[in-house]
Amino acid sequence: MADSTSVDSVELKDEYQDTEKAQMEFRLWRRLFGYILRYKLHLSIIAFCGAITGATEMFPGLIVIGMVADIQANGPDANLALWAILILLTGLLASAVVSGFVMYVCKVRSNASYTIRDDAFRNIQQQSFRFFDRRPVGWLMSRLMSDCERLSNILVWAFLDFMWGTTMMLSFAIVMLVLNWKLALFAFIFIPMIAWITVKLRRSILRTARDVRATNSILTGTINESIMGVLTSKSFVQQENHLNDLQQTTNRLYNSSVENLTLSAVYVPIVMTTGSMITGITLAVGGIEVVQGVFAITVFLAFMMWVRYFLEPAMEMAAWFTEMQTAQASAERVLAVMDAQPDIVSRTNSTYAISKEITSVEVKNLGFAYDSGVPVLHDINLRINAGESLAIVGPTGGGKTTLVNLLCRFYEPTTGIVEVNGIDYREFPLNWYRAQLGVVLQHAHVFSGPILENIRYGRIEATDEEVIATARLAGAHDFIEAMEHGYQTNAGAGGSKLSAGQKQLVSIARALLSDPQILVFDEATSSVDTDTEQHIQQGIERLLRERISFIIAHRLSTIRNVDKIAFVEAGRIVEFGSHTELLRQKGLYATMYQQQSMREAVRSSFELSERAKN
Amino acid sequence: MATTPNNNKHSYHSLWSITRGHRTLYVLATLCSTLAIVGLMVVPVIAMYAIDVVENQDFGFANRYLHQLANYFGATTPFASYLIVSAIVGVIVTIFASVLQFLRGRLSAVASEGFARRLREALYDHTNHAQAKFFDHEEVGDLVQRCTSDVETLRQFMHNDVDALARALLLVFVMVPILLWRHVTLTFYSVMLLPIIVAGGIFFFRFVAKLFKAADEAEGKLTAVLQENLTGIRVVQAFAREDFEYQRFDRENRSYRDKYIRMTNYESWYWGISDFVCTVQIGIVTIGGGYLLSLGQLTTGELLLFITLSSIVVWRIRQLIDVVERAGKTLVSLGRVKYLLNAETEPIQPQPKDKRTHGQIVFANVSLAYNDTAEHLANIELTINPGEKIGIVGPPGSGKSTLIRALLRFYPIQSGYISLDGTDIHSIDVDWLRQQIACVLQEPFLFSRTVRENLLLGKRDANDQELVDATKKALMHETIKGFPNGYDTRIGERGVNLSGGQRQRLALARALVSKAPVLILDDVLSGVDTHTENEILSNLASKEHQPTTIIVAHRLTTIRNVDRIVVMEHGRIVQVGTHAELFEEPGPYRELCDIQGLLDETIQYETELASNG
Repeated sequence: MADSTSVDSVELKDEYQDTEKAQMEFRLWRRLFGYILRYKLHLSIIAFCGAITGATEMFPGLIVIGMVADIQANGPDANLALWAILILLTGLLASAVVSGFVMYVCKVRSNASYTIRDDAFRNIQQQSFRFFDRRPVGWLMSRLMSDCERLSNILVWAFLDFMWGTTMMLSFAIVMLVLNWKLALFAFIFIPMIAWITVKLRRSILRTARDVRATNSILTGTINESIMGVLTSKSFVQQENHLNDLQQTTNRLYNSSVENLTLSAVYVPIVMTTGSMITGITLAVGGIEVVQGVFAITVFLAFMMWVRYFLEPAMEMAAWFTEMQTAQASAERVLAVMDAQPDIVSRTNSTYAISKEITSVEVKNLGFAYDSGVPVLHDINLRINAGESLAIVGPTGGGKTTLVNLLCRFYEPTTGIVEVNGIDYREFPLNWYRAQLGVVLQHAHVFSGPILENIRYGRIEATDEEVIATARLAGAHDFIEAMEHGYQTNAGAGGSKLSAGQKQLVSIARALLSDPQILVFDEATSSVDTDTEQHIQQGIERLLRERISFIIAHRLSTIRNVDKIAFVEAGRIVEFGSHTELLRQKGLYATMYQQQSMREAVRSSFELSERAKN
Repeated sequence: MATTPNNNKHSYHSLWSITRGHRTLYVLATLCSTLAIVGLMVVPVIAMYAIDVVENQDFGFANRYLHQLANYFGATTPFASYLIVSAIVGVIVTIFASVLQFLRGRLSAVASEGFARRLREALYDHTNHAQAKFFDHEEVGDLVQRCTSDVETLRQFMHNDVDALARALLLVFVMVPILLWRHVTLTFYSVMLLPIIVAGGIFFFRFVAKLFKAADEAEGKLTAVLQENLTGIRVVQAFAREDFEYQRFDRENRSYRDKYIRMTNYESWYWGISDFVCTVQIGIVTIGGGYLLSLGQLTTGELLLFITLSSIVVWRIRQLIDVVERAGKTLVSLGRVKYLLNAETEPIQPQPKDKRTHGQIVFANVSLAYNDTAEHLANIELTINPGEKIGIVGPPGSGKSTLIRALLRFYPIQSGYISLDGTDIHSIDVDWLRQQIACVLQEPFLFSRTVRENLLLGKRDANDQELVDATKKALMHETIKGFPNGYDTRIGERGVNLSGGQRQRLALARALVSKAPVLILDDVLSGVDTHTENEILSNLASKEHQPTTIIVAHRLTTIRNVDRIVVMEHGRIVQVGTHAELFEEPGPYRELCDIQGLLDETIQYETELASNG
C-alpha cells in the first residue's frame, strides 16, 4: 500500500452529492423491487389493504349524505341507528386494513433491508485489498446502514401509497363525476397543478437538502477527525483554530438548512391556498346550482367534505416520485457494492488438494501496479523452500509491503506469477491458501473485545491454554497479565487501550496461534525493544525451522538469522542472497549492515555533523 | 439545566444559555401559528353560513345589503354574489393563514438552526478542551454521534415539535368556543373521546418504549459489528475468517430485523385501534348532529361545521403520539449531549510571564495510575537540563509513553510533581505548557488535509521556507515534491496513502516547524531504516536551536548520541546515566548493549571475513 496514490474514482466523488438524474432509471428500481417481490403473499395483503383504504376514504361522506337525505325525507323518524351501525362498520374495516398494512409494510421493509444488507455484506467480504484501498470505511457504512433503510422504505411505502392513491383517486373520480360532473371537473383541474407544484417545489427542497447532507458529512468528518486526533490537537494547542475552521462548516450548514426549511415551509401554505380555491369554487358554483334546484343540498354537502381530501393522493404520489429521483444515487451505489466483482477469486477448477504441505514459494518475473497504473514492482524473481526464511529489506517506500501483500495474495500480480509447490497460486482455493498464512500486517490491527478473543482469532477452536501458551511465545503474556482484567481486558475500539508495541505482540501471538505454513511479518516488531524482540525470536526459532517465513524489518538483529535476504529499492530486488554472500558483494546491504554497528553509527553521524559545520 | 464546574474554561456551554436569543423567535412563531389556526377554523364557519343560506334561501340580517350588492354587480340573484363573496373571503382568510403558517415555519427554522449551530460549536469546542483521560473510556463513534445525530434529533424537535403540544391544545381551545357558540351539548360530544385518544397514546408509548429501545440498541450493535469488520477487514482476510465474520454479522442483522418487526407489530395494533376510536368520535358527532338536525335544533351548515372541525382536531390529536415518541428520543439525546457538555475540561490557569522556557524539566517522586489495579508510573525522579538529550528505553508497557503523557498533562499524576524551569506544570496554563513542547506521539495522527495544512499545525503562521527547512530535516522534502501536487497534496483515502515511515517523517517535520524549546519523539523512527534515521537524528539540532530532547526508542543506534539514557521497567526508572556509566554497571542496559555489542562484533567480524574472502 505504500506509495500507492489512490484513485479518485467516480464512485467516490459522489459521496457528498446525491446526483439527481433527469431521467428515472427504472432498471435500478426494477432490480431493487425484486427484493420485495420475494414476499408475494405479504405484498398482496399490502395491495389489498391499500386499495380498501383508498376506496373507503369516501364512505364517511357518503354516510353523511345518506343520513341527511334520510332526515330531510323522514324528519324525526329517520333511522339514525342504521347510520350509526354503518359508521361503526366502516370504522372497523378501516382500522383492520390500517393495522394490516402497517404490519405487513413494516415486515416487508425490514426483511428487504435485511436481505439487501446481507447481500452487500457478503459481497464486500469477497473483495480484495484493492477495493478497500479506494473505499473509506465510512463510505461503506453509509451504504449498508442508511442507504439500505432508505431504499427499502421507499420500495414498500411507495408501493402502498401507489395502491392507496390510485384506488382513492379512481373512486373519488367516479363518484364525483356521477354526482355532478361539472363540479368534479372543476376540482380535478387542480390535481395536475398540485402534482406539478409538488414535484417542482420538492425538487428545490431536495436540492437544498442535498447541500445540507453534503455539509453534514463534512461536519461529521471534521468532528470525527478532531476526536481521533484530539491528543495531537492538544499537543499543538490547535483548539481555537479548529473551532474557527469548524465555524465555516456550521455556518454553511446553517444557511443551507434555513433555506431548505424555508422552502419546505412554503409548500403546505401553497397546498392550503390551492385547497381553499377548490373549496371556494365548489361553494360558489355548487351553491348556485343548489339554489337553482339542479343540485341536491346533500351532494353539495358531500362535495364540501371531500374537496379537502382528494388532493392528498396526488401530493403523496408526487412526493414519492421526487424521493425516488433523489434516492436514485443511493440505489446506484448500493447496487454497485452488491455487483462489485471481486478481482481475487478462487477459480472454480481449484482442484489442488487441501491440507497439502507447502514445500516452496517461487516468484517469477513479477510486476505490479496499483490502480494509478504507476508500476511499483518490476521483474521480481525469488524462491524460498520449506524451512527457509526470507528477509526483505530496503529504504521506506521501496515496495517491501507491496511485495509481501502479493505473496499473501491480497493483491494479484499485474505481470508474472507466484508459484506455490511449482503451481500458480491462483490455482489453489483462496481460503485454503490464506489459512496457511500467519500474517502480522504493518499496522497491527486489534479488534475491540477481550485480548483473549483477539489472539484466538488466529484459530477459533484453540483452548484458553493454547492461547496463553502462544502469548508467552510472542512475549505478550507478561503485559497482558499485568492489565486490569488480564486476558479478559477489553482492547478498546481498534485496540485503543494498547500501546503500539503491545498491539504488535498481540498480532504476533494471533499469527502464531493459527499454526501457519507461511509466516509473514511486516515490521512486526518495529515498536518493540531489542530485548523483548530477542526473546520473541528465541521463542519462535523452533517454529520457523519447519516453515516458510517472510520478514520485513529495519533492525538487522531481526533479520540476521534468516536464510536469504532481498534488498528492495525502487520496486526492484537489487541484491539477493544469503547474509554472507551479500556482505561479500559490499553493496547496499553491506553498507546498511555496517550502519547498524554502534561504532559505525557514531562514525557516520560524526561525519554528518562535520559536513554540517562546513 | 446543565451546570458546569466553576473553574471550567467553557462554562457558557450550558444548554439554556445556548437557546439565548432564540427564545423570542419561538414566542413569535407560536403567535403566528395561533393566528393561523384561528384562520383555519374560520373557513368552515364561512362554509356553514353558505350552506345554511343556500338551504334556507334566507340571508337574515344581510338581506338588504346583498340585494344592493347583487344590483351593483348586475347579478341575477343575490345568492350568486353572496356565494362568490363567501368564496373570496374564504380564500383570502386561507391566504392569511397560509402566510402566518409560513412565517411560523421560517421563524422556527431560524431559531432551531441557530440553536443547533451554537450547540454543535459548543460540543465541538468542549470536546476539544475535555481532559485527555475522558477519551479513554469513550468510543470515537459514540462521541461523534453525540455531536451530530443527537444534535440533529434535538434540532428536529426544536423545529417541529417543541410547540406541537401547544398547537394541539390551541386547536382544541379555538374549536371549543366556536362549537359552543353553535350548540353546547354537541360540543361536549365532539371532544368526549379526545382524552381517551391522548391517554391511550401515552399508555401505548410507555408500553412499547422497551421495544423501541431494544430495536435502537440492536441497530447500534449491528453498526458496531459492521464498523469492526470493515476497519479490520485486512485482518479478516489474512486469517480467512469471512465465514466467522458473516455469522457474527448475520446474528446482529437478524436481531435488528426481528426486534424492529416486533416493535412495529405492536405499532400496527395501535394505529388500527386508534383509527377506530377516531372514527367513532367523528361518528358520535355525525349521529348526534343528525339527531339534532332531525329535531330541527341544528342546521345542515352547522352539522358540516361540527364534522369538519372535529375531524381536523381528532386526527391532529392522534398525531400527538408521534410527538410523544419523538419527545422520548429527544430526552435521550438531551441526556447524551449534556453528558458531553459536562465532561470536565482543562482548567484555566495563569500564563507565565516568560514567552519561552529554557527547557529544564524535573520529575519529583511522580506516580500515576490509570486505574486502581496497577501503578503505571511509580516514584519517578528525573531532572533534565536545558538542551540536554535524553533517551528512554524499556519493554512495551514499561511506562515510556505514560511519562510523556504526564509531562504534557494528558493524565493527572497522583503524587509528586513535575516542573518546567522550576514552575509546577500543574499550576500554569496548559496550552502555554504544550506550546513549549513539540511532540511526535507514538502512532502519529495526520489530518486528512493537505501536507501543508498538516505542517502548519506546528506553527500557524510559518512561511514556506520554515516548512521546507523542517521537511528537509525530516528527510521528507524530496518525497513531498514527488507527490502529485507537492505540498498541496491531500493525505488519506482521498489523496495519497503514506507508508508507515513517511507518516512518521511527516509528523516529525510538523513538530520541527514549531521550534519549541522541548522536543519529544515517542518511538518515531521505528518505520525508518537505520541510514535515514542516522541522517534525521543528526539534522535535529542546529547551532541556533538546541531543544531539550527526549527520545523514546527501541534501537540502541537511535539513542547513541544522547547525553543520558533512562531505562524503564514496570513504570519505574531502573537506570539513569550516560552510555559509559550504564555500560559499566550490570543491569538491563548492559544486556541491551551486550546484544548490540555482540552484533557489533559480528558485524566487524563478518565484514572483515567478507573482505578477506
